[in-house]
Amino acid sequence: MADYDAIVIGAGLGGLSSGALLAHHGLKVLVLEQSDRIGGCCSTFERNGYRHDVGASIVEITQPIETVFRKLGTRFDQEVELVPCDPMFSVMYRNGERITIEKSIEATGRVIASISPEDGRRWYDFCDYCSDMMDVLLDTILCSPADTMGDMARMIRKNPALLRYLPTFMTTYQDLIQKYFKDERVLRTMAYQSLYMGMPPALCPGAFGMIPYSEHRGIWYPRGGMIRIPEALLRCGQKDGLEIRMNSSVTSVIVRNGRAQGVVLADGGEISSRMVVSNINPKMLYLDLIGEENLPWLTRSGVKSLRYGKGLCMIYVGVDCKPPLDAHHSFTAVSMQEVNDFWTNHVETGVMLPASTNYGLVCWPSHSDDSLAPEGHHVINVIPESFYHLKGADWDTFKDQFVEEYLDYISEKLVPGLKGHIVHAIAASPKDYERSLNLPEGSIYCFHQDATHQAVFRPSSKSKCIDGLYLAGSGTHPGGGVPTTVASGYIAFNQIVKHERL
Amino acid sequence: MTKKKKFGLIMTAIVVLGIVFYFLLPPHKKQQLRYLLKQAHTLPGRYMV
Repeated sequence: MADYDAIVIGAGLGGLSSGALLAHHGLKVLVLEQSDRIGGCCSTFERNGYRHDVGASIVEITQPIETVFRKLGTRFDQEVELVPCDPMFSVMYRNGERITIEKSIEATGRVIASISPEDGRRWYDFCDYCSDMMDVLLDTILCSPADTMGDMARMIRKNPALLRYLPTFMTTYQDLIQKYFKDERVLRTMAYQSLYMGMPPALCPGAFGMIPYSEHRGIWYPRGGMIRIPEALLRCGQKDGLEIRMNSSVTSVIVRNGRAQGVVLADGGEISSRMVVSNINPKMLYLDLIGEENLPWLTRSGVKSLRYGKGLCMIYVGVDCKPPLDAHHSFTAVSMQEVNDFWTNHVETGVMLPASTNYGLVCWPSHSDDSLAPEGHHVINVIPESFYHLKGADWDTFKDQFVEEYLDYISEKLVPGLKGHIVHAIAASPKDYERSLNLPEGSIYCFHQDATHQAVFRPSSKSKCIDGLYLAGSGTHPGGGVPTTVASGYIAFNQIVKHERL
Repeated sequence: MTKKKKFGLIMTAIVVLGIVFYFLLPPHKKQQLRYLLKQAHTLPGRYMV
């Protein structure tokens, strides 16, 4: 008899949500986490009295998360105190000008109309279109498995309106935004958000063009830090008997007769189970933990062809004053072409954009939650545009110089005087994330999120070549992001219930 | 005109029209098309993962 019904590898959002749901369903579940902290990219750490979020900085489109907590017999807002972020974000132009965007659709319409009356009128058409698309996608793609064409057909049968929006996955973010807005200054308030999906506007699927609208349904910050979400999932799971072991690395998945039957730990110990749920990178799972020799040739070539998303570089800053920012998120106003060019001229060539022309996001979590820093102090997380493969350089030697130059630049041009108030600055490069979070190439979204890495072309939630193996996390459908990763755990749970006849 | 010549002419016309179509596309659509064409051969494998 197996030691556990299910072993979950990785205590990220996908692993914890599937683990908690399985435990609530009555299964004996063990979660194995390689690090000493849960949550993966949706986590928080403390340094010198300042609490910094590891990666994810807000939560929006909360319906999938609410569904999971409802299934666990509770409510999301009961388990996690959510602070609404309003104003939602500020757009910083390089000439020092700023535009602040509030949650209200009407207030945003007025801001856009003040720049371009024509675009201001179209804003409402854009919101109507995106509102309908969002409801359809939430009802179908964001909560259902998309492993096969049959799954896609079932989604269409469930909600035929999906047929209206599937073609948007073959258009681009830029197509959708430029269909409604023409003024360059307005477009600059919407270009950066495509990078929330890790792709430039020319490659990001058109469906994600709804992001400038979806934020208006609300963005929230969990009081105490982003780690409060995985903590809540773990707490719910533990009430139902879920066990967790920290600092437990898995070196291989035991596969016998084509079925996953447990794992081998780094210390050589074996734990058996009826099924295995993987919350780690699918490429690592298949190539390292299972072994490519155990995969059919087409699957092997498919796994190898998956391309990691853009690596994350982040600077965690503690300051001794209230920073001159206007909102929880502030980002540089950039043109669509500038972001597209960054991809072709820099990401694909390995030549880093100089700090003085770089752009990015400045996140100010203590604007929403003042408990994150000592009294009168604040925390800021600065995210310049970056990538993993540097031509002729290495992040370990390049990082300090790049961070210094970028902080100089934003202190001079975007957040005046910031540098003089820095108490500490901790920089993490894509290589650091690779080492500490087990994220290959430091990619927080795992793989790219373009049309060729979406739905049926993203690793399946139920393994197609190994029985009893299920996948959750950003590497599987519906992809990277807080709500989508939680949704992947929910989808994996439903697949297990269906295929293991629970 | 032989069948072979006819086929050659049609193929040439398709290629020429394709090139003209490509150059008429806005820059971001060219970027998307280049990217998708580079990824196309991987799709059967990815579907099996």
